[in-house]
Amino acid sequence: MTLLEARRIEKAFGRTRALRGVSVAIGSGEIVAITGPSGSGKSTLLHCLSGIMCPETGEVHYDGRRIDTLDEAARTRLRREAFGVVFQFGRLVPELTAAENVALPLLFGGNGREESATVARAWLERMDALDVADARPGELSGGQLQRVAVARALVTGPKVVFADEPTGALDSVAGERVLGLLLEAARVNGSTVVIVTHDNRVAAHADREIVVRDGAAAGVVV
Amino acid sequence: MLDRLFIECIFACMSTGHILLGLLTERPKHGYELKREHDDRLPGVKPIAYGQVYATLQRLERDGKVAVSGTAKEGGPERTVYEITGDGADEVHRWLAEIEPPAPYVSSALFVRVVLALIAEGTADGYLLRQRAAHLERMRELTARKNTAGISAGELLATDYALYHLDADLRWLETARQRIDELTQEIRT
Amino acid sequence: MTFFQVAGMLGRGGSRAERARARLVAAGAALATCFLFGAANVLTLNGQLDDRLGPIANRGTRPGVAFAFGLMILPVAAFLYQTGRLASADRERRLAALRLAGATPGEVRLLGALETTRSAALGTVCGAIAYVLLEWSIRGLLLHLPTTAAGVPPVPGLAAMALVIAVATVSGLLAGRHVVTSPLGVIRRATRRPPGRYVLLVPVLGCIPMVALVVGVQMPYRPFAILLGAGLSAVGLMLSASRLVWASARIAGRRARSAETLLAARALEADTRPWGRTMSILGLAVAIGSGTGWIQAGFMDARHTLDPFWLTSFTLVDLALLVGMAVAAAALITHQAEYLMEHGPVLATLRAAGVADGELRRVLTRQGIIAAVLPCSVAALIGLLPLARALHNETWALWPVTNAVLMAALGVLAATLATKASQHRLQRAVSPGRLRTE
Repeated sequence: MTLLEARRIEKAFGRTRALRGVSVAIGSGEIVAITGPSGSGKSTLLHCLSGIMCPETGEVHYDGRRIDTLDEAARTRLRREAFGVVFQFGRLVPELTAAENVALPLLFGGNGREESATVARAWLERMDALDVADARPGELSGGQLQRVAVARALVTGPKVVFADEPTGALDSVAGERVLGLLLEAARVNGSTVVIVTHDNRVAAHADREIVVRDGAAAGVVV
Repeated sequence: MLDRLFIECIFACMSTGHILLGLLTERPKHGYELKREHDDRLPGVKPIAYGQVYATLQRLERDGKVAVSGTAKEGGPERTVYEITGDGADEVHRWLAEIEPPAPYVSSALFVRVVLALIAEGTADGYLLRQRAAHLERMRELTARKNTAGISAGELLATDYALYHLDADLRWLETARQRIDELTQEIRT
Repeated sequence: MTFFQVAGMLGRGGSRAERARARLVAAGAALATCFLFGAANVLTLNGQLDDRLGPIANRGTRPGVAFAFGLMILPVAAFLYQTGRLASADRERRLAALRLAGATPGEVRLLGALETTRSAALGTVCGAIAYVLLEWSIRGLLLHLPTTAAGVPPVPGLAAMALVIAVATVSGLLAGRHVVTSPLGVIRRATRRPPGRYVLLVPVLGCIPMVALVVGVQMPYRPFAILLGAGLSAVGLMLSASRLVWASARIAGRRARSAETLLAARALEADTRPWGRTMSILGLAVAIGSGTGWIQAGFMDARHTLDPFWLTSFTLVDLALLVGMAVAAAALITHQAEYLMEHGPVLATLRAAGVADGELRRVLTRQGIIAAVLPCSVAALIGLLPLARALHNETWALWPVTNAVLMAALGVLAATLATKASQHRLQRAVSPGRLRTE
């Protein structure tokens, strides 16, 4: 069953045409890698699929609903309720501890402080990062940062996890660990995962690869 | 120039003699034990035939690298136990001090196909995508194997080795796609 | 190519934000020049003037007015320092390329100071011209006084201008301190320890003679003791503002129920000093404003009326306090811009994860509220202390209390409005473009 779909979407930044009519369909529970050389538009495709930005033409559907025509507030709600995001370098709030960073989405969702902290710690434990729960991001290694970031993305039990080069800043052993934990947790959750990467070994963790070249899907490789 | 690039696929000349000598540095062993340890400890390397173990041991004995140290009988038939000699130990350490020649490895089959696809069909795009899919499928299998529970560290490293080489092929394929115009021009002129 | 040629080249370039910041420095310098000119002008006046001019009319109160003008330099200096800090953080990012090309950190800092000096010099000249024109027109057109006599004597005037430029240059040099740079750009700002707790003793010490007065303890050298107490309280309040901000941020962070409060409190706790600087000035204004309530109530109590002299005096004091608060709070706008610049990618990531823009705006507003409430309340209380026993009719005590509450609220409002004013930058700071790898 198709959960997330882009139909002939186009997006330009000034004169640069980042996406030129991309169509992709992603099934529920699938783990998909979007690959392509740098500048191919793969990050832009992820931003459009996740409702962070809207394409100029074409349609984006999630769970049978068209989302590119929704207003910012509705898309924000959708991202909060159904999506989780992981980016390169963690992008954690530097002043908060690891546990508070993970609890943040729960707090924004209106949950209590203690309750959120308990859930956050449980997730840190699953990500093998409970030992750094009270450390600030500045004190963490790259691999620890990403594991905390993964915990933050999964803590709300999202339907889809979007990861943009989640292991880009890590060496291969640390990267593999992060990826393994992310995919394992996503499988347990039943979450769909969309990973943008230029690393073939990361792509090999996915069930399927979508190759983006010059802003177009160059053949969906099954 | 192109002929120079079609370098014959270099198979790493892994000497069975060196492997057996290396395994014998631990303690004296008999032939069957050596075969079993070879296959267990070097997963990913082609399993060795018992006959080859036997022949190699005889050659090593003739060269004075190993010597018969006795016999062992563990339930089955009586087996000859070999031990490493001083010469043999020297040989192992000399061999370990060497490096594998970092050969100008060209995956000739892939390269030939790209060139022939350009010559015969005028484009290699389709081939490159299909080859990418095949490579990635193999990488997926290897990755899945790595993620199976109870995998040994040796197997893990061997799988990593294969994965990195496939990855190198894939990156070469991507570069080939970006350089295809230059290559087309070169072939046409 | 010489050093100054490089400086000139860099001065011509620069982004819109940098030009805006250069204008802010110029505006601050112009304001400071005006205040110093005002002080010099008041001191050169002769004889008794129209009562409607309030404290300026009376020879005896003129030094006080000049001193008040001098005090107005404080918020302007804080503003200049904050602007310089922001400019230097931004500039060092830009000049990282220069570091790669082999410039030393000292040279880069000197380049920054030169840029600040140029803007300040421009602002000072503009301020001087504006003041002279304004003073000339007020004197000639409104008061019908002879316009021939010079308002501001040339020597003190030039000295004031030189002083403003020097202060701007020094603050430009100092402002670069907190930024750790490498040729590859700003790594991170140097970590700072929380402000010390012992400074809190200074205002407490200052309050002792005033509390003693209130409870009616007999003191030797009473006026001197009270003056000393008031001075210590004021200085102590300014010194301890950072610690007060830090303390309230810490409490708010511990007890926060919402994500917005948590984010705001922790951001404050991590970077207290810019807020502390602003709050020390805002707090001083609140304390003075709160204290004037007693004087006003005292006059109403004694005379049941206000003559033009006192009406003008009180209005001028309130006006000065408002201007001081506005300038001090304006420094927060530039500080918030710095926060947004630094946290852009992090906030953009939160936004990508489904945090609404309104929630992010609340994070900014709550920073202002958390930072301002404690220092402003303490300041209002300290302002309420002196002269507490000077009234004959206790009903009049209602006014100082109301006034103190109003002043504290005004302080909090100024801080909150400043954070609101920086919210328009949020949209740019959290745009999806900031999600890309930098």
